[in-house]
Amino acid sequence: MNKTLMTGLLIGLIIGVVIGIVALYATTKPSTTATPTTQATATTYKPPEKVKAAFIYVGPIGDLGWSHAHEVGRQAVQALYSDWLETTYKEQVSKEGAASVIDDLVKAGYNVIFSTSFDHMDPTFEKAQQYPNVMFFHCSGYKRAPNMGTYFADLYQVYYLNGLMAGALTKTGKIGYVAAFTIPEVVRHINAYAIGAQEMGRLLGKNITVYVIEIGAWFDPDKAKEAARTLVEKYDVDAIAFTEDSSSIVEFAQSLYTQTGKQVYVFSHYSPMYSYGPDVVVSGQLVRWEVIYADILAKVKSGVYRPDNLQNVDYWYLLNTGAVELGCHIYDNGTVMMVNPKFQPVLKSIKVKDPQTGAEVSAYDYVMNRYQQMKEAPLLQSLQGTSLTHQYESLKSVSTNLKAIPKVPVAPSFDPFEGPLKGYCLLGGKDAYSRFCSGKPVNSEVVVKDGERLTHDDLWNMDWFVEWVKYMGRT
Amino acid sequence: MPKIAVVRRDLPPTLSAVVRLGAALAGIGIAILSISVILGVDAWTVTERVVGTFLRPDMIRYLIVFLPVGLGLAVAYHARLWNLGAEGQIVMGAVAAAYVALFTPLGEIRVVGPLAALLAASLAGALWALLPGILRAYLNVNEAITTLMMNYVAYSLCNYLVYGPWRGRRVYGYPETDLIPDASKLQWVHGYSFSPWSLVIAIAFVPVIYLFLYKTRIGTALRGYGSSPAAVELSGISGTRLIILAFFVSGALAGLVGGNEILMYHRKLVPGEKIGAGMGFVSIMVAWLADLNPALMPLSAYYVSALHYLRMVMQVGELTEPVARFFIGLVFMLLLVSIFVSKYKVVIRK
Amino acid sequence: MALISLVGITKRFGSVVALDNVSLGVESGEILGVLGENGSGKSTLTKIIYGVYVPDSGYIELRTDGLMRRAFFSSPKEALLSGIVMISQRPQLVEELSVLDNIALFLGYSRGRTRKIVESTMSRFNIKLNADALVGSLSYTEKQLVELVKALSFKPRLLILDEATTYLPRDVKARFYEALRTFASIGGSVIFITHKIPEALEVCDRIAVLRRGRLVRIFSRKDVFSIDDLRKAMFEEVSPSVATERVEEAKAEDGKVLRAEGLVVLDDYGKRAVSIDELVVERGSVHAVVGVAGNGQKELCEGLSGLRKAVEGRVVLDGEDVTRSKASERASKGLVYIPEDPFRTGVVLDLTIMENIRLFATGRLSSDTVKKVISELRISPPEPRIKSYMLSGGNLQKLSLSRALLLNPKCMIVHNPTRMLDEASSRQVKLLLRDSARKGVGVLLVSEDIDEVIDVADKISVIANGRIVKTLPAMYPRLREEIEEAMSTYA
Repeated sequence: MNKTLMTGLLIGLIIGVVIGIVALYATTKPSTTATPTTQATATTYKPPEKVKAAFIYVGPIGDLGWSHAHEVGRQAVQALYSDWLETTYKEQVSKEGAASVIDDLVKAGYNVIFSTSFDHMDPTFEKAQQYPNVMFFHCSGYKRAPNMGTYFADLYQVYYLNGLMAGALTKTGKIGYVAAFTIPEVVRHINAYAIGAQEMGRLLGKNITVYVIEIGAWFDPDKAKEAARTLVEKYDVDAIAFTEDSSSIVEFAQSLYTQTGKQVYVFSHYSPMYSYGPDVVVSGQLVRWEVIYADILAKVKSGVYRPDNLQNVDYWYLLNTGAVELGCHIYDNGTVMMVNPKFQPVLKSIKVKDPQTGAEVSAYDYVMNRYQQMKEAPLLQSLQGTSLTHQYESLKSVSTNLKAIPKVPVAPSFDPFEGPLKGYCLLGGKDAYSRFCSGKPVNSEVVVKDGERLTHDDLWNMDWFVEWVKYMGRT
Repeated sequence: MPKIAVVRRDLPPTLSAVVRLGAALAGIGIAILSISVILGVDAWTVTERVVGTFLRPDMIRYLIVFLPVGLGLAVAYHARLWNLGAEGQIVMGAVAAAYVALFTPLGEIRVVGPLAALLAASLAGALWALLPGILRAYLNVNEAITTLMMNYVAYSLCNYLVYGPWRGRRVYGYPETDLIPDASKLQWVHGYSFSPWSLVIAIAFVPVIYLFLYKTRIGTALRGYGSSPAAVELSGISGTRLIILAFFVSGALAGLVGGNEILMYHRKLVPGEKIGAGMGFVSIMVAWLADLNPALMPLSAYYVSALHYLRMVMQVGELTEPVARFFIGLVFMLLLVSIFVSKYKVVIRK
Repeated sequence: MALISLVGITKRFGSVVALDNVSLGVESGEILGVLGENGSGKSTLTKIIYGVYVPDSGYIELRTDGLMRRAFFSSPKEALLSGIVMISQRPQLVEELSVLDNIALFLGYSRGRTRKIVESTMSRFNIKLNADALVGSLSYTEKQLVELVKALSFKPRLLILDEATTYLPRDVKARFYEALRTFASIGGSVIFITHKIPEALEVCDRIAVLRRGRLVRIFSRKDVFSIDDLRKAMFEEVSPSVATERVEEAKAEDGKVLRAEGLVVLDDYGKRAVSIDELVVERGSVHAVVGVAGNGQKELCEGLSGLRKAVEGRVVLDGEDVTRSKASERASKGLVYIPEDPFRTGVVLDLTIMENIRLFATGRLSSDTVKKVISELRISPPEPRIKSYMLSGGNLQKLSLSRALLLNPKCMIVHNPTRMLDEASSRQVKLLLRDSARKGVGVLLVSEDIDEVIDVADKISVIANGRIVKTLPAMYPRLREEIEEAMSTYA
């Protein structure tokens, strides 16, 4: 029997040796896909005949949420560019598996790879070094390389609009936010939402407080629901917005409404969730990644984007581009339900005085006016595609010497992040990254001066809450 | 009237291995057929994908994880000590390696840095496993429960670090540390996502663990401890020490893998769930597929690694992710049947 | 009229042939003895009848509705359904339940119905038991009686006793035999497995002798045969030394190698099982502790060896207090304990013979050492690479004994070493104990067998109720009578 065991050991060793040899072979002889044939340069570069694009998703495609939204985008561009575009996707790709999946895609001949989670950033970046002829685009991160660009569609303006409605509707003056993580992106959304609610609340004589609970996960229906329940039961909150990838909070509010008649207003996140809570969803945020994908792929096809010039490609698309939208439902004819018809009469019956114009309007019109203001910024989109031009995004206008048009508008005529604003630092010392908080202790006061508009960098590095946001902790 | 009965049998190890191997291959064949019949996916497409994955070295990235952890678990399981805590031990190894690489001057030194980090990782994993080991050895606390719970404690500890004191300066608030210095990184083989050195280390443990378990007095005692603790005790070998040793070894190997995940893959400490990623649990299956035999562990780890990798890359066209999961599930189910077949036979008598 | 017959049964375990083409029938109303030396295939045979093993070839015929029909049992449950019940060496009872509940569980009847059946069984077979006692509180002997009542209450057609009486004291054995005869007289059949020739002669109508898996001969009570004929069939040749002979006396040297002072040890239920003022084992001598089973022998051995905690008193090994040392430490210091049950605490069944030897080899293990250990007590089969569970109980016991010498013990505690052994093996073991003493080892022989004790020991203590009631030198006149008297007076 020892003999058989030794045979087993031998088998094991042989397998080991074979694997070792294969590995050594792989080390010494780089695979053909990765061998740089000719260094891509401006003069010799030929755009690909056929673009093969692969999309890597962190979650399941499902019917809702982040990965679903990207998949919608993929299908849209696939239909749009069917002549020359071939796409594929891999779902449920975790952080520890991302690099191997990229290896596989490159071997299968994909020349454009989109990775859509912050978890994929480091593997994508490292793989970009390994495969210099493949173009990588990463969503939600900050690392770029000659063959790796970044893109993002941000929702803060939409959250501001949601906040206006929350401020109009709340009876307790206490509104809630369930956050996945308190990273700058979500902090920005919370602040925008709080600014909207406060703005409307002040006009209506309400004292607004925003309660935030962090759940530490992008997708966790149970935790999200419990956080919402805590907000409602413990903090008397009656309007909730959230960053979490499921419809769980919407369903919670709906069941609360059906079972006890208690009205908690909810703002649907990322995907149209109206159908999960027709009695509670007021409005929400929608994303259209196809706007960005169509732009990137068109530029890849035309040779504008090459594997050597993506270093500064950084999309930062807002309401003005159509990549994000206010709404909670898509009707069968393709139009967007921006505000639930159930709540439209209520919002229209609330009258406020617009401080900008002095005219008395309904809360509903007030929201729509702001929406229009942020929608219309014709110069802005040109600045939103590269990292080098982000600095101009916050310019309200540029002056010319011409008499007829002395000023040319750049940024939208309204933006929620404009002073006067007061806040407090979440982080301090070396941990903080914004110009307001770095080097200062935690909880230091943040002051944005009257008329000062926050820049792209300020938005990216937001590590402070406005005064009336109360952070209740992480579950 | 013919009677059918199921009877235990003992196949010699080689034959048992052959039966399992055959069943493993047949299982894949049957799974391919079922998929093409039930879901109408072209059988050839699936076969191409499956065979391709098995023949490509990509899955070595997982073999490097599953092989050492499986070997370590085999040591504990031979003594019938149910260490279900490989996941947590991997995470603690990762924490230790990240500490050495990020916060000690060693991290900046080539070769020495990674070696020190891996050593610290093994130690951390071993110590993490030692706690349930000591509780079991001295207070007879059920180790299955403690090791299982320690997984979540390890997650929490790691998460506390990445959310709190170790959070990086350049991660924009994400729960991660900064990247480890280049000197500490284990570089990838071009076109793949693993380091040849990690592979060498992983394979080197196969003969070491084999010889330990089958050729030494202590190893033999470990294998006997589970069924007859008193008999082992009476041979002059302390049962308490055996328990502690078994936990130490299995924890050290899991910790080593955790350290390697940081140096070779993540290059930074990330939340615990993303380091372990359930691989500590999958390793339990690796250990048992090899029937706890270290000599067969490379085969078992190879098989599971390939399937693990296959799940992610299989998705092409109609082969969606759920189909891939269905496929893998089917393969494992058939493998279970094969284990049954190698241990029992069906007798029909008139 | 035959009840059951085995036809051409063959069973292999790997390379070991346990049974080789055995054909055997049992008549109704007959007690058939199956006699054989250790490892001759007796247990395998019963396990095949009882559905634990399936034969590689051959089949079983059972009288069903008046005709002999082929039967195939793949589990003990199926054998039970055909009216076959087995009692083995170890009671198969639930400790936490009462005697009655255990039997009700076995029969599948209500408690009330079971009580009636049990009462009638006990009166019919003349067995006295408290049916409401908790099994956990019973002694081994009582538990075996419960097994007997349980089996008889089932009203089986065939009762198999696999060495079931081996551990029983003489008087209980007699009651067992009586019950078996009653059972046979009302038409029941019995297969009685044993390795003790006297046992077989006492109770069996016919005796089938197995040797190395083959059926050698069937002796019938009607035939005229001598014990030597039986021995010859069992061991192939009549060893002239098998007759009880006195092993030569050794002179006790000076020096106490093991000393227990005021030792108190509790049993599994927290009762005081051992309470000893002083017990001394001298270097180079065999000190025997003899007594009726269940008088604290096991607890004494475990208390001395360290498997069981001493609640009072101390244990001194070669001048060193080892009361607080664990069993493993005492073993490595030279106090080796060979328990009576090799299955549970002696040998690791999952390991091979060689690996079990390696456990006791502190240095490198050479194949010569392995050979020596195997040949010392003629372990069969002499193949170091087979798994230990393929060995018979007797061979396991031999392995447990002979490898112990590898640790170079200063003192050996040996509990009932020969109970599972046939005569030839017993003698070898006795010689081994004497030989160890001659080499300077202190041997503590704890046994229930007066003959064995008188054969081997230099000094004999009688244990009763956990106390040493008498200690006599081996040269004492009227030794046997004194011991028997002490055993019966204090028990």
